[in-house]
Amino acid sequence: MSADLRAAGAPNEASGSSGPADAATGVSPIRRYTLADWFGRTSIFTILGSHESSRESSRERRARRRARRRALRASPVDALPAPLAQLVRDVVRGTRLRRAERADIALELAAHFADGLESGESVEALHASFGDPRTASRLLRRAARAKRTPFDRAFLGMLRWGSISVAAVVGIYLVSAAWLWFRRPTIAFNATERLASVMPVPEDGVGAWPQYREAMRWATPWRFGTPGERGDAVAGQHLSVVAGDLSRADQEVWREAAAEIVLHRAEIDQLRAAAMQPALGYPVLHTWRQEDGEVLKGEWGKNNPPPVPPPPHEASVFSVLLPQLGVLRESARILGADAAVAADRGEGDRAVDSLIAIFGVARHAGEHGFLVSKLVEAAIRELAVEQIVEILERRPTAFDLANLARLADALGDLRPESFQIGWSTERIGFEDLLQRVFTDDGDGDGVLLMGELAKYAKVKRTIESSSSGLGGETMEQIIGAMSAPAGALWLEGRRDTLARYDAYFQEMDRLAGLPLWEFDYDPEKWFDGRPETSRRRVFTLFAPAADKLIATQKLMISTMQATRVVVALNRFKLERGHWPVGLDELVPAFLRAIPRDPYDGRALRYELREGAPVVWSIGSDRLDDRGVPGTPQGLPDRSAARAWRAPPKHPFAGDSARPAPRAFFGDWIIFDPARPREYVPPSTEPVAIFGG
Amino acid sequence: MTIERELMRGAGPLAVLKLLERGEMYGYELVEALTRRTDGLLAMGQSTLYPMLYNLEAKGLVKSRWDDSTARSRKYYSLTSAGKKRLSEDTRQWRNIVEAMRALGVVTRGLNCADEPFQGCLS
Repeated sequence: MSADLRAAGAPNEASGSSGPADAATGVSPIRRYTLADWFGRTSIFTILGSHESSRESSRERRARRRARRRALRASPVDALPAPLAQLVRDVVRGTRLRRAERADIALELAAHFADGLESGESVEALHASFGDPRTASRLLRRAARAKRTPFDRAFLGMLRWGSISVAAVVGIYLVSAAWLWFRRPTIAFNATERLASVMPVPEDGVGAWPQYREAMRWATPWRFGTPGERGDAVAGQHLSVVAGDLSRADQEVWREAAAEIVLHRAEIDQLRAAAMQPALGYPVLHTWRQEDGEVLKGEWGKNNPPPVPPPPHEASVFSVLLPQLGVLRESARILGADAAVAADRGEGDRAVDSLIAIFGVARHAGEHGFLVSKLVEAAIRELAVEQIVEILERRPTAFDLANLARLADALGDLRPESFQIGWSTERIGFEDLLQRVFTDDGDGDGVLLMGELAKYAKVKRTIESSSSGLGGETMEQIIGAMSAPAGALWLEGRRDTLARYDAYFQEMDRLAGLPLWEFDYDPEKWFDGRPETSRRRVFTLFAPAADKLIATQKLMISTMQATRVVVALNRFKLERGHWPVGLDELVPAFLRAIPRDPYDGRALRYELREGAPVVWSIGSDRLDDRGVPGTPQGLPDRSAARAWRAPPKHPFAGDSARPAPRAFFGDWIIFDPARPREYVPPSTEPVAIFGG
Repeated sequence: MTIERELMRGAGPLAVLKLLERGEMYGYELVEALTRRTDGLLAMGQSTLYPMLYNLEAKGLVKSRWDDSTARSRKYYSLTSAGKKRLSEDTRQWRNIVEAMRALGVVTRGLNCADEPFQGCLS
């Protein structure tokens, strides 16, 4: 390399090396050129080419490469006078050809100048006769590329246009991302105000909530205290156990809970009065009130200050937290425990009052019409009917005929409004989410804003599982911004999402009209992860699992009807002194008709075994086990098989994709007073238990 | 005297093919021969010659080989069979053109220059 070029730091085009760095490191530029040259000359395009020059044998090619390496070692460009060497480098660099092609041209031009010099031409004359270097570069480039194989040229063309296309797509994508970054959703309506407008309004303008609040104040230490504070938390847990399933409570626990119940009868009476009010009156977006503090403390989080509700125009459906549901559930448990205690004490009227009050609490829980409200309502009803059956099994003489008649009436209260599913409430919530995650183009459609979607999806996950979401906010914003155009292109738009939501609820309405044994709902049709359904991201993320609510409510109706059979059996026994041989003996004096088994549509199963009645449903496995319960924990569980499950695809082999738990097998035992139980009630002197 | 670019575009490749008819030549040899044998009329610089050679090679009319047997590597060009055929066709066409030009009085001398078309054939 000439001294001039070394000083200028110009790359050594002829050798394909990168200039002074090579000199500094001592790495031979020849070796690097050789490698590049090798790749250039043995590429698939050259091999497939049809040029005569490429038809030479591999031996010849190897020999030629060796010779050229030798020639390059002589650095013919470096050997030229500086102006000519610079000219060669300028021309070669300007061709922008491949390294091997540039090396060929450099070598040939260098040889040309060397020949000229040898012939006695001056440097200046050779330089002048060369022509315009830029024109030379252009022509050489064009000609050298013309020498490439058609396949090579086609590939390069594709590469070029592919690159241009990719660059264009990326550019458009980034511009779209930037455009979407600055788009904001339009909050066109206040969801909480709209929700409030469809809520039932108490006639007195107040409703039952203040009564619940006052009645439950005494139970707060039970519900949220710790053993270190009052030691009553244990009693509270016991109360829950007792109210949930008396068969699992031991006598010591029962004594403690029963004593508390008796001690607070006045408050429980107040609770009952609250439950009989027509409406709860709890506002959808409840403004924090000091007087609610003690009762709602645990619902908000014991050690956290109460949240300040956002202004109504900023309040999304997620700001509706429904803390009253926890209070109502606890109220129902206390009433259930009160009924059990009253039954033990032979106070049938009080027991029935408390049991009927539970249905009132359930109605209040479902008042807002949200899916979760309705699920809690169903759970509270279930608590009532289980308590009725439990008392009738455990203490059949607790109720007289009048008590049983009142229970039968309460269980027969299957007015549609009691089981109406509040689609309108859910739809308001869904529309609110749509206006927060889509733009509004004025005709019901809009573009999905991925950043907003991520935000609300995170809120939903936080509510559902207390997870922290994707990570930092910045990262979420970046992910949201970068995925925005893809999301807007691929995912369903606002109008389509709302149309899908409505179609889904049309399907739910159809299901609601079917008996449970004809339920043919396939959740995968709406919520599975297939590519075509992945477009429904917003729908699958925010649409409620309405099918579960429908199944739950239908099962609840079946349970209430089955419990009416239990009450009718006990009325029959009380009037006639013996159990009927078949359920048909109950009709019509004690029962209008024999209810159907929710799992196959046939009459509920009934048998007298050693003089004791057993009523059962075949349960979710759709197989009649002759009244043998499922054993999910290895122990018999009378109602484990009650829970609704879709029929398995292969009923006798189970669903291999999702093996059913053991609870799936066995029957749902509706009434079996002779069944063995761990708990032996203090039946000899019940009054003495509570100290008089 | 210089030749118009359009005329040169047609004449240049034919001249190169004609020079290669006798045997392989390297770049400088071609430049020198063109200058010498046409009295500089068809002299062309490297910036014209080498792209032309590459184009002829791309069309399969000439082929090249590197000769590394001497101290200085040189790339030699020679006619392919396609090149020979093209030379024959182009020569015939040029003769026809010259005949036509002679008939028009553009060319005044005879055409006894089959072996040396660039010397004394054109006025």
